[in-house]
Amino acid sequence: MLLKHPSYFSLMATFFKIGLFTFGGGYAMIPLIEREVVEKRCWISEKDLIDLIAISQSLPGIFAINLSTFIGQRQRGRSGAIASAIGCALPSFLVILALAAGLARFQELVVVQHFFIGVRAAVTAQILLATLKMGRQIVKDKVTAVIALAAWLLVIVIDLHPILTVLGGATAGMALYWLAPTYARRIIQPERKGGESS
Amino acid sequence: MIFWQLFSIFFRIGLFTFGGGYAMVPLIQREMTSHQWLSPQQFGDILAISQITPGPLAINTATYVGFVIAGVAGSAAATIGVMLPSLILILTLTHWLDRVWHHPLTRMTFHGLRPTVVALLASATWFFAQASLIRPLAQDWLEQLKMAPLNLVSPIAIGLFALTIVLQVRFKLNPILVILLCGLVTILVLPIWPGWA
Repeated sequence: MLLKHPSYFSLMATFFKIGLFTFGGGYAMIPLIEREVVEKRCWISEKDLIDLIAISQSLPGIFAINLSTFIGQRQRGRSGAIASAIGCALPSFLVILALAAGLARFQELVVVQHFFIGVRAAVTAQILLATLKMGRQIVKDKVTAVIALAAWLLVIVIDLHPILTVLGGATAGMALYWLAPTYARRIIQPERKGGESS
Repeated sequence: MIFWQLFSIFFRIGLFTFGGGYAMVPLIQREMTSHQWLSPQQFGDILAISQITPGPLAINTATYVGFVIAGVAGSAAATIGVMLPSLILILTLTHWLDRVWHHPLTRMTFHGLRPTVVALLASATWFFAQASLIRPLAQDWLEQLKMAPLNLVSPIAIGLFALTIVLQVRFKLNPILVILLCGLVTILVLPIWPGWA
């Protein structure tokens, strides 16, 4: 069923294409990967893709790069992973460079400045919406609400560094594992079931 | 050296970003302001451009920030830096990733970590609101707050902020279209009523 061993070039070209047509963040990439990698090229199965998406979401780093690295690695090992990751990042890199170089010349223009006043307002609203969406998915009980609130207070009151904030949350999670085993069991069980059924 | 600095900062950003491109925003914002490389407005503009161009938000932002600070080589340093943690982690951990992944302690660690990402995003939202919706504070801002509090905010920005929420939540409009639309509105309106800015 699954075709074996695409060339490095075809890995890179495929992810270049996917990177070029993804607008609006890594998650927008999923339907494209489904079409190009699962349906057209049969490199991995739909079920594999779902597993890789779950791991890519939780690993640190850029979701899109994580996902393309995983897929490339499954096909052609280490070099395949690197080829896919570079392919995925290259379109952004080139487009942004061209744009940044161009805009640097025009940023004094009043039109450009006016354009960005509106654009900034829209982006602020979009970040608010992203925060709310993420909050609804993640903050589901009192414990997660307390962690989120404590982290937020630490960030705005004592200006805690984001990295320390994230590490603090991780520590709190580990502490819950040891100190609140009943709660931990309740969290882990449904997550496992969810993982198996998907 | 600036390139090494960009590389190591973006490496750190890549290593500590959990949960997609937006989660990276507070980290980059923190580094940019503490090094005084970019103003909040500049960073907001870069983020907006990264949104409306193809590719992952994080790669776009890293490339753009690197370019503004240190040219083409700077954007290469930042982009490679932000990608490398993913590559290293996945390539070295593949063999036991599956086992670690399903360990209860790992699940709980992530359970505690995720809410902090929400908190960081919430503070980033406030940061951008200050850079986009509120006018630069004058000396007598406290006086203004008492007399005419509306003078402190930009009316057109508040309007477009609300419009964006309505268009995306109610009408599910494409975010890229909404960004371009808001930019078009300010291009058309501000030359006629500059006081609305």
